[in-house]
Amino acid sequence: MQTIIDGRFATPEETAETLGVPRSRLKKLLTITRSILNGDGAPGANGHTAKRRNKSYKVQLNFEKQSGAAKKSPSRKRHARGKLAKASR
Amino acid sequence: MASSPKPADRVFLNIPYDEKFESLFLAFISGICAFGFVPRATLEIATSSRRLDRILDLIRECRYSIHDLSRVELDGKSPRTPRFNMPFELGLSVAHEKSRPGKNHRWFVCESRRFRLAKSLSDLNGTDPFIHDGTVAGLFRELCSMFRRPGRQPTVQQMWRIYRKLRKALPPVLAQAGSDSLFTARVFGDVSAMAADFANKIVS
Repeated sequence: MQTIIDGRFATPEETAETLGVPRSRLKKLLTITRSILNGDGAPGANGHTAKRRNKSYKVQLNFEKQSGAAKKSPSRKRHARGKLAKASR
Repeated sequence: MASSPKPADRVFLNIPYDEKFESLFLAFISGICAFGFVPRATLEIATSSRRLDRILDLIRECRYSIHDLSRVELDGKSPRTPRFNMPFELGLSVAHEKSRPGKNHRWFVCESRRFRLAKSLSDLNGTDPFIHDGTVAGLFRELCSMFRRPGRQPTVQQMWRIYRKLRKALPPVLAQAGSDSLFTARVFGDVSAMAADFANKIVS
């Protein structure tokens, strides 16, 4: 025999409160559910979706390029020569 | 004076906490939330508190309890033992229901194999267990046999949608909790809150 439910439909806020999930964390969790429901895919551990991760990856690549260029500066070269000399001893 | 709205019903989940049961654990949370319930489990209990008292409190706070007695095998670790926690907590729920008839606590028993309960717990002869076959689809089918919510009855397809979305959400939740197991208080709370959000948007 089926049991007929007459209670209210639980909201995420009510569920979180009952289970001791703090409001700040619930906010983060709802960001994850929203991105999944919107089809953006699951976010990473930092809460960023795939799109944003790609963007930050590109930024990182640019940074690497810049840092590569910076190595050519005379001061860096001097530094490298010094290190080489030390290592060869 | 207008009466305050009835709170959402809570369901005490008495299930095994092991890796092999992870899919069914998620399926239980998905299905329970699809019906608009708040899932509760002994996972919430802090190790410092007296466990038995907290289990009793949890059962008292819940209108329904679901007891999965499908893990009756001996475990792999030495000394090999069967799990007594689940039948014990079922006993507590039955006693709670019988001692307070007006309070209307209802309990349900799940099994994965037909006729096994008659052998493993013959005291329950006359009680029909819900046989989920150890599968997610079977569990959703059985939850639909247990409960009916007029006006907002979830379909098995909707439960599957919640389950799949919950699986998708797991990696960031586990990473944020610094855990590789679902069976922690924090992950249980986080997953349940997300399942409730999915249910609110999917089940209409």
